[in-house]
Amino acid sequence: MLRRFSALVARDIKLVVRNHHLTIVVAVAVLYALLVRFLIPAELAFEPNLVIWDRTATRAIATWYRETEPGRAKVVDSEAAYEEALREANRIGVKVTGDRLPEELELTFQGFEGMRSRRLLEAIFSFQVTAMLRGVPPGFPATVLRPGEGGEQPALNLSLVPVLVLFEAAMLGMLLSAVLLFGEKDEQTLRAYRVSPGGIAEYLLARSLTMSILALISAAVLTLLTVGPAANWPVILAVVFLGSMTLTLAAMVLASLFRNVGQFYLPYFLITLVLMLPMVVYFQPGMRLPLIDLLPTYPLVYALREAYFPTGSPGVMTGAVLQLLATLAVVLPLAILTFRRQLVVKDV
Amino acid sequence: MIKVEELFHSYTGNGRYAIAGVSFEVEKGEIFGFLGPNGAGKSTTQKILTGLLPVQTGRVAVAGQDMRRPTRSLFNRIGVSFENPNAYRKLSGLENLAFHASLYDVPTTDPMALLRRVGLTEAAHRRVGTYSKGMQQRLVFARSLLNRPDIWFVDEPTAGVDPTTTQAIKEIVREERERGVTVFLTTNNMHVADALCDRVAFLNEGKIVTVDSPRELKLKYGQKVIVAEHRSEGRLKREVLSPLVEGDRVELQRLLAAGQVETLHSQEATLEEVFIKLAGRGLGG
Repeated sequence: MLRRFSALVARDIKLVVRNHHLTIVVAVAVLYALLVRFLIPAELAFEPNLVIWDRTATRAIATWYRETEPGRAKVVDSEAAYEEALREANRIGVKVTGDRLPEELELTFQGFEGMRSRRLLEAIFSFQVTAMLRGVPPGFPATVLRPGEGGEQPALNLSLVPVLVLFEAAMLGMLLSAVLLFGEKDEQTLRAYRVSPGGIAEYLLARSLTMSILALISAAVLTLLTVGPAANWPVILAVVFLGSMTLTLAAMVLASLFRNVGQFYLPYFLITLVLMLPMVVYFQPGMRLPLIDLLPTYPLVYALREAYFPTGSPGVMTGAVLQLLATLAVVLPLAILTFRRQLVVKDV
Repeated sequence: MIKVEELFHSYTGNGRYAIAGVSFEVEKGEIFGFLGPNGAGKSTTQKILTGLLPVQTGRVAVAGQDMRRPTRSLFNRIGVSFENPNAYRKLSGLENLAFHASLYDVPTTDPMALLRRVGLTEAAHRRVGTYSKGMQQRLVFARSLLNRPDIWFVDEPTAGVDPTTTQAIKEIVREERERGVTVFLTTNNMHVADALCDRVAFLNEGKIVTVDSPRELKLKYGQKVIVAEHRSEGRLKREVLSPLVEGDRVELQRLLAAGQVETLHSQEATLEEVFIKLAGRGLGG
């Protein structure tokens, strides 16, 4: 049995290398690393780039910005100048009206700003106007960063690493395993395998193991080139391995339902979209999607984030490993049953 | 070794059967030919016998195992040579055989020896993708012998191969029979069947038309006459003589004694002719 399994893995490794899948995976990992290191900035600076038209008699806000924050805002004196300035992208208009002191405040946005940015600006100006009404000079609310809580926030470019590892190691692995299966269907080599003592479970596990080895190589290359050698390797490798095993089996189930890769692409694309939903939550933590935590990619991305950028919540990683093991326990028999049905009963 | 009773199989499930009521038995050490034109149901039957298709209706036993639930041990005992070459094109011929050899739980033949046997020694380390169709056919043929099978399913072994290789393949089939292997040969090549088979089954439109030895079929459906060409008074003459008629026997003896006979042909039918008589169509159709 072990001899048969080793032979299956050895065959798959040869096929993966000779079909250039290993080259593709390593090349994509290097490309991602280059993007992270050289193209994506470490920080997205939020400069409001304000245009202030203060129509009050005292012009207190305009004066304050001109004197104390000259780099933050462009102060204008007419409606024409205000409209002209707002034609430039990234400008946010602040029109202040009132007799002596500000009574009304109108903020003009370009439309692409996030709701959080809008609310933040509204709050800042409310704070400043309130201060002025109380006879206090306007200023910014005090900001306190507490780096001790929740761990140090990773740089923007590095925060992408867990997502890229997941995307390449798991999602690309899904596609490549399906491509291999369709190659076997085309060559009819699966028929030759089926008249041998080789079983379906061995076949599927060997293929998953091979794709997981590919995923580990990809994750290692990407991690070394971005985060460096000082990473939580045991967790990263364990999570990538289990995630890749699970998703490869899922891809094999899906691919077994179709005769060729052309029929497979659309369902694969749709399923990939669903599996990528945890990335949305990853970047927008406030967002909550129902049942999203049941997707195998959900624990994967959060466990990877914890492994790369620890926040003192090791339970996330343990939970992810357990959830992936449970998913694997469900997916493996399902894959065997589907494969048997598709290949033996329907001879697809 | 193989027992099939009232086997039916439908791909569509709407009452149209690819095979309908097929029954036959194959004895140990026999070369059993399964003959029929394309679409007659030969491949469907072989797929069921090798576990590639499930048994829907009927009973199929191979080496005593019910094919509704074939076990791993059965696949250690059978070999299957496919009509369409189905080897990994990115692996070499030797790698293909070595991989398949490692799948068996029983002792296997040295892959290199098998490649030598089918004339692929030189190409052993080349990727199969670079092989001609005939070479791939030989590779798949060799692969089916890896586990020294007791029951050997051979599907169109000479399709697309040259006459020399055809001869070599026929020789290997005979050698395996000598070893005691039961051979189930699926073909629509009557010459191969005639040369190799102990018995043949004619399959037409999913039904077995007849099962018998090629010799019996040819005698049964041929003419029991001899055509003798001889020279008499300087002219070539052709006479049709029946060994069953006293006068014809005397005439034949006279011609032979006079040394006038130039050619002598018995007029038994070919398998193709027998098939046409029984099925109303040729094997090639």
